[in-house]
Amino acid sequence: MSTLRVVSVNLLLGVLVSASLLCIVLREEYWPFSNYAMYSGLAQPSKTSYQVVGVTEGDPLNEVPLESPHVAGRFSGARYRTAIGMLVEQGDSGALDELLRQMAVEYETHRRAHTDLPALVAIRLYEDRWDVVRDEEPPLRRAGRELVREIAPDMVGGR
Amino acid sequence: MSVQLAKRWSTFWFAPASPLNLGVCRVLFYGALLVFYIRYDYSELAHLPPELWRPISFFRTFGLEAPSGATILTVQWLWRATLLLSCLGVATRVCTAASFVLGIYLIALPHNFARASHTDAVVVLTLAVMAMSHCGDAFSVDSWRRRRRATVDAAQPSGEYTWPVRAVWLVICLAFFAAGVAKLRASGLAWITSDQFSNLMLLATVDHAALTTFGQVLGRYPRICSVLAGAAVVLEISAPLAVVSQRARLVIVPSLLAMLVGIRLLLGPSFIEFGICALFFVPWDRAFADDRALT
Repeated sequence: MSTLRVVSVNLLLGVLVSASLLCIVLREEYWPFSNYAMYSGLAQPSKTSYQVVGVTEGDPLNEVPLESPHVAGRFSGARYRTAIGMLVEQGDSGALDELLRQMAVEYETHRRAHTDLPALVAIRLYEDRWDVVRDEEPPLRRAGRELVREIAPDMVGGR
Repeated sequence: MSVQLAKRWSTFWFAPASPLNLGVCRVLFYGALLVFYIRYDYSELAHLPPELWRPISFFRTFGLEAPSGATILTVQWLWRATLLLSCLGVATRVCTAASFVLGIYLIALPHNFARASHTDAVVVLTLAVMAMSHCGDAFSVDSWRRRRRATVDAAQPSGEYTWPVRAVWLVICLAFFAAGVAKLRASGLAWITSDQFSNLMLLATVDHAALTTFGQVLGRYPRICSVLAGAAVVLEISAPLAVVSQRARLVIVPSLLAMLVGIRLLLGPSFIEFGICALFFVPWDRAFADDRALT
């Protein structure tokens, strides 16, 4: 290996190590370098979570959760819930409706490939509060549920 | 002293090795990335409400804005093509460089919406390492064509084939080390000794799609959860040992992978990207009795 090549590789190694250590020391994120702080806080025995459900046809109406990765694609999981929380906190009902409507469209696309799935007539967003009850069965209890937003049937499926 | 240190540094990173191991790592890494990422359509991000756009430092630094769906689709298909060509070892230097440039853009894109996460950062750093390496010198169409023309001999053992593999080890182990340090700095020993890990397991079903409900059973026993939490932190903090010690590597790497599988089973989050990069820990060249035919 030439001297120039060895110096170049050492520079790359230096960047990898120093940028990683910098993120650790400063507790900062300089993507793709990170301090990997996920789950570093203490998990409390209660939690608030947003739940998007699709209301399907039937008598009575049924609710199906719309959080499957198959439905939400790359925008799913924690990112998806954070996004909903951000929009609810901002009181941005227009953007929130748009996000929920897209969930309906994605569900509809998924449904066309799986004809056994029922059609949606509305989408609802709930805020749930869950408590740990270690000695009970099941050990998790939904302590409260609040309807935050509902998209009218005429908004579902029409882009 | 410093001369000795420099010598040890040089010996560690640039000890001569056969090109085969790095070549097999290239095939598996790019092949696995292609299979993993082909199921995602990043163009869906173009339809998200603009209110969710929170550019990360990488996008801010380069002044990048939210792209259109057509742009994302183009980048996505180009990236997939470079991943395939890098896997096959066709124009490897060009294709691995292109797959890094396109990949860092595409992989970063979702992190600009609502929040950044960390699971795929190791992929980007591994792409950077591979882009700078000579990973196409074996087990590739490039090396086959060179041999067929008989213009050059098969690649000889060199430090060029050692440092990229060890650099990927470093990237992975630094990520785990950072995670361990973050837990102790943010919560101290309470992260291990309190009921928080039990709470985490029991509440996992609220947000995540854990593969099993066993976390609900285990979460009822805070002491067992504390032992698991302690083991996780010790393992993460000791991860850098796996870079420098073969014995430590034999214990720590399988344990870290088992921990990731456990997280998927009990808590839900998936770390498949780490598993793909962990392919570099396997000494693939030992699987081949006679590697000359492959170089």
